[in-house]
Amino acid sequence: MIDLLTPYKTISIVGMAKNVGKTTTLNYILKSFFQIKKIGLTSIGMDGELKDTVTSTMKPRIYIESGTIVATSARCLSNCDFTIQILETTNISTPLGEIVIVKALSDGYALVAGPSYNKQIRGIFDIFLKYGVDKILIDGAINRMSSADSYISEATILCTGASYSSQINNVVANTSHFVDLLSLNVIDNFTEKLANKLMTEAQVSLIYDDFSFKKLTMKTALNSSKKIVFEINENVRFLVLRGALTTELVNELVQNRQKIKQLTIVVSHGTKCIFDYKASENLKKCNINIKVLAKTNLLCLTINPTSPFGYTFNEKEFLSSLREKINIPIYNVMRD
Amino acid sequence: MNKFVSKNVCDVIGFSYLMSQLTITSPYGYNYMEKKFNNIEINKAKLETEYSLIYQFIDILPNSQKLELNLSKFKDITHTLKYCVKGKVLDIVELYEVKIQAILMNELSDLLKNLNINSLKLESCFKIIEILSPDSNITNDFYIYPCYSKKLKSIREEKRRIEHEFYKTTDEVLREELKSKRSKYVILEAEEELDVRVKLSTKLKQLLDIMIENSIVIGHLDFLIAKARLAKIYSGTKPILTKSNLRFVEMSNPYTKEEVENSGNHYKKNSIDMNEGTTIITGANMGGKSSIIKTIALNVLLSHMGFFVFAKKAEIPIFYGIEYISGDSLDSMHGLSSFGFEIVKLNEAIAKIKSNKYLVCVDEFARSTNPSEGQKFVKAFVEFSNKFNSITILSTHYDGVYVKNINHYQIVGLKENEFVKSINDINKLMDYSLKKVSYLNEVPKEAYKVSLLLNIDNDFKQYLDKCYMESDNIE
Repeated sequence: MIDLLTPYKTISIVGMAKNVGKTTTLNYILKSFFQIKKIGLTSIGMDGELKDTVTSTMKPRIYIESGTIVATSARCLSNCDFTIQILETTNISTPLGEIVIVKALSDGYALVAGPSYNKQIRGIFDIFLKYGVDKILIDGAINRMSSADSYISEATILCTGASYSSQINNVVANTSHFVDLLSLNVIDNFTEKLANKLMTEAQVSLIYDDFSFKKLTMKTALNSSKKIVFEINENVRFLVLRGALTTELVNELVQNRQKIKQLTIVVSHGTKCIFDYKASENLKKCNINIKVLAKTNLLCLTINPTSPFGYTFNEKEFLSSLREKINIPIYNVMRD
Repeated sequence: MNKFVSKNVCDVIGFSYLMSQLTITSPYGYNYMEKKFNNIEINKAKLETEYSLIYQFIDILPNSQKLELNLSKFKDITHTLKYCVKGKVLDIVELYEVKIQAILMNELSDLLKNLNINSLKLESCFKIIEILSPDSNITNDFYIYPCYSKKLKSIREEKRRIEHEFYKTTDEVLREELKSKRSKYVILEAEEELDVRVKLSTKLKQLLDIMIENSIVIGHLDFLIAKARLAKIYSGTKPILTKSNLRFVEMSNPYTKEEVENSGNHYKKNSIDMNEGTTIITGANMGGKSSIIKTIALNVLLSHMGFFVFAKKAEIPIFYGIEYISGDSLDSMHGLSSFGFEIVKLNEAIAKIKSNKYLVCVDEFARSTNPSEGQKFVKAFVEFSNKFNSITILSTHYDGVYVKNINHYQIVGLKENEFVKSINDINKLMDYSLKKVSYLNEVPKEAYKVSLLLNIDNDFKQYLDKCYMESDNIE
């Protein structure tokens, strides 16, 4: 698995749910790079408490090597047990205090809560590079799938596991659906330029057969599905969304499929798609495609067959069902 | 809270706009400006000193880049400094921030010396830096250095030894053992670090007042650079502080000037001479009376905040504040009619001029009430305010409010015999010059002229002519 990471400088690790082995994966990577690479570590947002309040199990903590550079918020420092050297402060504030850049002067456990916004994290990368970091790892907190955007990371590792659902089929279907979303194809060059421009100018826009376009005025794409679908007719070829493509909008489109001839929905990244695999199948039936401006480079999938709720999937069965549907390498870092 | 002038008036007269143009770079600069604004100087000597500092900084502006780069690096850590002085133990991030800021302050102090600025001095923070950089080598980072405590050094060495062993071994039992051993050392390290932080904070406690004082000087420095730049951009002039008279030669207001020039018109700079008592400005609607009053108020406010003013020459007495009564500044009417509110404001102004010297600006008083009554109020206030040592400037388009020996200016108004199609063209035909007139001058009947210029309907004009004839006969 580590060989896969070699060509990339920024790597994000995102999880399908809590307790799917994200930290274990991160620790696995960190350990593999011990004394080999100088690591910069941060996260987008924070997963929360040290102890899982839902299941009362101790969550694994991130263990870093002396020399690692960490960007975390000031209040997390008291939960880091390596010897801390403050390198600089950033003026980026979070609910947990200002983001500070520290160097670990010893090995130890780190609690990482990075900036909340994608834009801020790019500034952090520049600081990391200043301190000679070879590899940047981004811990993508749950609900912060955006760390998988190619804007943030050159490569992404997805973690899934039994804690997502007690039904193995459900875990497999939704994981494969999410992998599909992250692997959505990029739109053609010509449309990309227009869509990119429209995205910066309006929340929602339509591109017609003759490449004329219309910007729809609405404050957010949320709760405005009816308005969007109302504007769609046979001549609309692309529906360009700045924000998320929600289940609500998908359902609305499917219900009004008679209005649609051939429609492609354009979103910036696969992470902007917030609907389940059932909705996805319905879309395919209606001849509606989804394309993205930039594709996530999904390297591999890691699994945790054990759920903290007390049940465990058969590892072989879990792996083979996933492999049937998913065409990227899959690892069990819990065992390795 | 500012007692000199209300926030709302600052917006109306263009002061807020100018403040948004300031190039203040540090949080201390903003703090200083806010403090000065909330406590406006009525001390002549202090203002004179501030003006002469602006002169100095105008000269420095071409070489101020390094200074401003340094200023932009400051963070507001006043709270940290004050807490430490009160006895709080600083955490590692706070200690880092104190150290970085002390280094910045020393750098700034050197820059000031290089530029030969002797009027503003920063106290040396060397002792503070020394405490936070114990190995004589000053670095831009901070940690609880091992040389602070021998005990800490040995705890860390032992902890590191355990970590190495932990990294090497694969034996699970041994790993668990090492983990719990390490946990003990983690606690020991934290305890010893706390001990060091307590000692460092106690040492710093005696010294941080220097940094608190310095931060005020830095704020002043930042504010002065911004003032100098503003003066340079808009060709500001040093005001001459007088005992009683208020006089401007070719004054201007950058806010209005920009608005006028953006709409393609020519901005007229005017001159005015006012004594203690009342000055009235008359002229047609759209003649620029309000604009003149705003310009006077703006420049008086600027001079009292230690800024250069916008005029070729300015003589300004020290005021206790500015009272501004106008429909524009009706911040919150508290359920009163606009006339009712004007009366409330008028009463406040009267109470003030009875006790001290104020600048009272009254723009089109009672314009919303019935004209024959409104005229009486205006006339009465003109006579009344003329008795005080405050300076009242009052604009009106009412006829017959003139009192003998009142300082009276008029806007020249529309040029004759021109033909226009749109309201915008009127601007081009309007002569916004201010001229001093004798008290017998009447308000010119510009409304009639404007209506003709705008091609008023002929049938309606017959009715209008009839009305004008009737009223002329009565007079």
